[in-house]
Amino acid sequence: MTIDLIVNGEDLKIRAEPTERLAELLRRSRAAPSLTIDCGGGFCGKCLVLLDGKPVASCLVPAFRARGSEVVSYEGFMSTQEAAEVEAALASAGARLCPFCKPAYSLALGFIAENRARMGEAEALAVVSSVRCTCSDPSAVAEAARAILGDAREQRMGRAHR
Amino acid sequence: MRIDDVASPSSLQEALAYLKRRPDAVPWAGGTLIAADPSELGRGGSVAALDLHRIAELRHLFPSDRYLELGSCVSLNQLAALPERRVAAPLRAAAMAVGSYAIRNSATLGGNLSAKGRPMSTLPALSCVDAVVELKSPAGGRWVSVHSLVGQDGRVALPQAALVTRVRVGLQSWDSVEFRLCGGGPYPHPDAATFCACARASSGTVSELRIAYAGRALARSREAETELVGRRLPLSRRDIEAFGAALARRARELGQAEAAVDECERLAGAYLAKLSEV
Ligand SMILES: Cc1cc2nc3c(=O)[nH]c(=O)nc-3n(C[C@H](O)[C@H](O)[C@H](O)COP(=O)(O)OP(=O)(O)OC[C@H]3O[C@@H](n4cnc5c(N)ncnc54)[C@H](O)[C@@H]3O)c2cc1C
Repeated sequence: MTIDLIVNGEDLKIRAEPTERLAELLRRSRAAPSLTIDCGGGFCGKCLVLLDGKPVASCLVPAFRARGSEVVSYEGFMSTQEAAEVEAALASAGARLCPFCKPAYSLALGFIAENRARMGEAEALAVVSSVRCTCSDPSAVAEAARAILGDAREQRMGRAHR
Repeated sequence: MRIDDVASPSSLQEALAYLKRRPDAVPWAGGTLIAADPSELGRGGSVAALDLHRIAELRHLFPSDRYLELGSCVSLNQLAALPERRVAAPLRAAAMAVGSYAIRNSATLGGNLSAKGRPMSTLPALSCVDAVVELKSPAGGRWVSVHSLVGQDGRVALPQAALVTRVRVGLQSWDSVEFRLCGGGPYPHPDAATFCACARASSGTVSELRIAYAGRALARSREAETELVGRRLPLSRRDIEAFGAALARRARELGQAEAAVDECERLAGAYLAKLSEV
């Protein structure tokens, strides 16, 4: 079958097997070279991408489900406004991430940054805990998530005081 | 397993027309369980996949003052994000407990409820709150109690070519709710289990009690629950032990492993002992 989708703003038309997963399709198409397929069972979250704006474990998503959808991988995320902020939050939290989990964590934090106006701390921590990697201390990533949320709160309060 | 066709209808009518031609088609909602446990596809050599994702009717949420009606393809994150007063507490707890945030964006209520191999985490919650479920097949539609979907073996068995299309849950409030993932490993491990209990008390007596344990089968003893209604709180040790024994007997009848039988007896006992604090 042919799958038409948008990956990082570019149209992609690609043939896929009915049993193929989105993660495999993205790797094969070379549209998301940073994407890691590690556990392949939804546990590690390293294959996280944004599918129609929401973080999903792409190793569990059938390729056919992505027809007509929009996918953002780390490559696409790096050109967004939030990318620099996420990098800075990770650095100041002291999170040193390996190349296998950094793309997924960055996308998760970017999702928090984009949705912070309506997101509470519990939800933000749930978002980042979708990714698990032995390289990193999860508390440092959690701190980066709190910092991103905190900046938003300060901005909101600043606006309210003005 | 080979998938020989994928249908992605954009309306329920189209989906039902497809099921009429291919009654063997496997409904595919979030696909997170099918991916983790391919036995959900059945044992045949090849199947057709019926992708439900594009059917807008299945993603609707209809909140009212008395109940919440959910399309079967509402994701568990959408369900968890509803205001607390709009969702029965046991169901909300179940929705929030499944997998990770990223998994819950794909995972649907209908997919969780319809798992063929074994009951998953929302089933004990839906059983405790007496949910009703709309089934639709090419032959027509009807609302049925969630209990009627659970067969003698404690597993969900949907009629052939039937889709779960909506789930309706009352919004009664509970004085005490307990929900936990337990068992011999985290889902999708075959020994994973879910415990759910809720109760109401009035004037120091139990007025409503529901306790369910879903391991490889759903165990609930409604006779034992009814026995405790009207009893004064705190419950006596004898009553608690009798309840635990009845639930354990039910779990054993369903062929649960001894570790699961012990666990459901222990969790029910601990819950009932704590009830005196309500
Ligand atoms: C890492 C990990 C952790 C998990 N943790 C949990 C957990 O804690 N608790 C838990 O319960 N589950 C867990 N799961 C399993 C799974 O994610 C959930 O059960 C999920 O809710 C299934 O929903 P789905 O929409 O993805 O179902 P699908 O995979 O799409 O379908 C599941 C089954 O239901 C059938 N089906 C789907 N929709 C319908 C419908 N509308 N009508 C009729 N039949 C239908 C399918 O044919 C299939 O048999 C976990 C999975 C993973 C990978």
